[in-house]
Amino acid sequence: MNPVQTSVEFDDRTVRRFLIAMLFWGTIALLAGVLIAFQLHRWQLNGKEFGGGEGIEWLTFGRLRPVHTNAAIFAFVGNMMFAGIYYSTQRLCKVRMASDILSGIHFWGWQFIIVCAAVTLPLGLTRGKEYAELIWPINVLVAVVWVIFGLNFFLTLKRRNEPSLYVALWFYIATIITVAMLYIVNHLSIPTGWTHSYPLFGGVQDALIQWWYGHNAVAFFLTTPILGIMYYFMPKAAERPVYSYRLSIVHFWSLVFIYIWAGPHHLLNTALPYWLQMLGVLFSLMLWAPSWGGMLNGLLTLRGAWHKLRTDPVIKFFAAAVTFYGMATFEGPLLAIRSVNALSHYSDWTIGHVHSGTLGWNGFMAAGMTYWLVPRLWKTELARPGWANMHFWIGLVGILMYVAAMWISGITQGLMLNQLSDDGSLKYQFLDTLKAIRPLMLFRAIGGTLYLAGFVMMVINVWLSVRGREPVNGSIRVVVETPKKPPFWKAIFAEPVIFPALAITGYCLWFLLPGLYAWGGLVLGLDMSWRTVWLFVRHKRKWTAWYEGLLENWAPFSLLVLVAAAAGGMLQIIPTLTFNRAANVEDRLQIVPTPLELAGRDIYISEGCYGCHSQMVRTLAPEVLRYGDYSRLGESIFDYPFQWGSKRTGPDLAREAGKRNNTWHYQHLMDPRALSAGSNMPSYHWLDTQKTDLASLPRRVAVQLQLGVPYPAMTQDEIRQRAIEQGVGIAQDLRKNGLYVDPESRMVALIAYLQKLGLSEEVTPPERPMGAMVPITAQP
Amino acid sequence: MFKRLLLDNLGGFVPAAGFILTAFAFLIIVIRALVMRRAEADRMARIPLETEPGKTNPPSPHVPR
Repeated sequence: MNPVQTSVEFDDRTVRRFLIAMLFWGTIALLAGVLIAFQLHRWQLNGKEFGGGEGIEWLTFGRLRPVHTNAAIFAFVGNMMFAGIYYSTQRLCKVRMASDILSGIHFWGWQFIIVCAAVTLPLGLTRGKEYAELIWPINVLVAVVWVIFGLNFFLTLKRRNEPSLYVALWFYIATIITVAMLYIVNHLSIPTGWTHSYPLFGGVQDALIQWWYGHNAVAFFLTTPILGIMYYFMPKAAERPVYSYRLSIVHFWSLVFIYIWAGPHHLLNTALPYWLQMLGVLFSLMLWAPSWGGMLNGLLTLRGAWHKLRTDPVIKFFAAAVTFYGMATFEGPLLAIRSVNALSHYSDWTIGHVHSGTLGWNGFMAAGMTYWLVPRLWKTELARPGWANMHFWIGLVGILMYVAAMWISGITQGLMLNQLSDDGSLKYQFLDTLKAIRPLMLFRAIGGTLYLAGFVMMVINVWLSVRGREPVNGSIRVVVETPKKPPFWKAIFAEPVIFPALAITGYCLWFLLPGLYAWGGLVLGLDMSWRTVWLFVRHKRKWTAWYEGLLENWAPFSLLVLVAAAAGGMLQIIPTLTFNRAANVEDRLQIVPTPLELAGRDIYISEGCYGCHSQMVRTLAPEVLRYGDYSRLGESIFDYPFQWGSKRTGPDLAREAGKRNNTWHYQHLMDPRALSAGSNMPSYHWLDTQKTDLASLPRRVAVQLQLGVPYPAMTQDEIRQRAIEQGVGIAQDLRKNGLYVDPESRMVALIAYLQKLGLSEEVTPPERPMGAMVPITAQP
Repeated sequence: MFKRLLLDNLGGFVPAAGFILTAFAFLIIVIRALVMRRAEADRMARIPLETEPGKTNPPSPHVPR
């Protein structure tokens, strides 16, 4: 076909929209973060100091924390990522986005989702899973809008005028496919109403899937798209090609292959099966190599442009962002070493790690990209270049203050919690450790405030730069030549795919099947491995051509990415879903919560208590000394969702049942400092006056039954009646100490739940055929 | 706690198998990246720098293989 010259005008309006949305939501996310950081130091900022009595429920830490995290991830980084992707994809493909309508739906749909989240989360409407808190109708919206985004993106790739797919586009493909997979699996739920649902998985299964999602949300939402942005915008800013394209290929594939396996490092020393913990550790350590390869590739792209570092804020932000990427990805695997994790997990060290990534890597990449884009999207000069430099320094000092405070806080608290007296008892109460780190919480909040100040300077700078300016759409003239591409099926059903796939299938069968069948699998695996090598040697050129063609053919390439990303997760999740079920539990089995206790757990989740309290005594001696016997896997098997937690601002509650009486819990929830001097927990006084939603209990119990929780047969009236009777019992107990509480209040339901935590029964399952079972010692 | 499940006894094997599989895939990727022709790698690396406003961008030449 003869080449045709044509002019392409890019859709930069969508880029501008996402950029402005990023600036707006970024400010909100940081504001929420600063507020809750100050609340940890001074709990009265929950509204008490603004005349809100003992505090305003929607201003408490538990409710605002998910607002901050969701806003930072999905609103701030999400909008930034979309701006970068829309801008760079059009230029890398030398074509306008496939559909302006789809771009519009994507933009407005995403903003609508953010508004819905900003309204529902402070109201306590949550699924109770970190970074997956949004209620199910919003989840559906997210999935729909994400598919629209993906459709628009892939149609653009299909129509592109550049035959090759630049590596940034690979990272975008991985983002779109993997986030869709992670989001859908981790949000599978059964609704009990329009604003509430229970996740499909519970206990250890939910823990594994949650952190498969949570860890890879960091990988594929906060990292891969930003790496794509790095590979596009850094060469543009430095006016030099990427340092090593070869290294970028290795960087991409090794990240996609390795990242997905590392989720279990969030559950080290817990009741998660040991083999999963080991996988998490091993693959986390392996992540060091690709992450640092990528960082070096980014920094070396600036070779010959280092002199710009002194004057150009864009280069300054990019160089610092990539350095933070390197630091955060060094620290991540370090924290995944089991012995380090024993100290760091549940402490502020992890919080510092996360923020060095988000503020340093994501935030500074966002700033660099914004300062680079604004003059081009509005054809103007930056109004205050000096402010941009000031933004950099204020932001940098803010981050360093933040992470240094969190390192010191995390290590201090970890060491104090583990310290023993001469007589072998624990030296410090939990509250002592909290008091020790309170000043560091103030430093952290000040660091966050500095970062926010820098960000606001950028917002003002952008406004001063673009006001009164006409927006400009970029355009290029391009010579179009329709390349010949092999059909999709030919790229998939090719020798390099079929034979290795058959070999892997054979080895899987060897692993999974019993007796002779297993040997058949091994024979198949070995035979196909040999044939793969033989065919490769014989058809080397053909295989090379296939690979080169794949890099220009987005559909099979995307499928390959999906396989690479899905493999690790599936190999962990499928055995867990198959074997780690209540029916297989030996040792201890959780006692099913009563209807009122179930209502209490829903209140616990709704108030975000899991943000500060874990329910997992790890297999570590100081924890057993402090909280009681280590948690068994069966003790949380009926928890939908699981409540193992990820941070302890307060003590673990896994064995709370019976430790304290009802009166203590009532008084503590009303005024934590009356019983725990120095506590930073807010008052939950409103629970005393609000009624428990007993009307929805039958539906909730019915869904629990559907999920496999063995509730006894009860009519709807019986469910409500039992809840009321248990509530009356607790209220009467409180009355003995002069406390008059409504038996149907949310306070009573929550106390019922707290008094249930850790109750289990000893179980011995029926004998199994020993051919398939091997006795092993108890974990750990 | 699932004491007798065969799977839990594979604490050493599964990470090792996972490592070998990933190392194998990694090795292939590294080899593929290393044998990429220099001219092709340079051309790919320059793609972001091609779309300057007002400039006519020729069709990307494929380096003869």
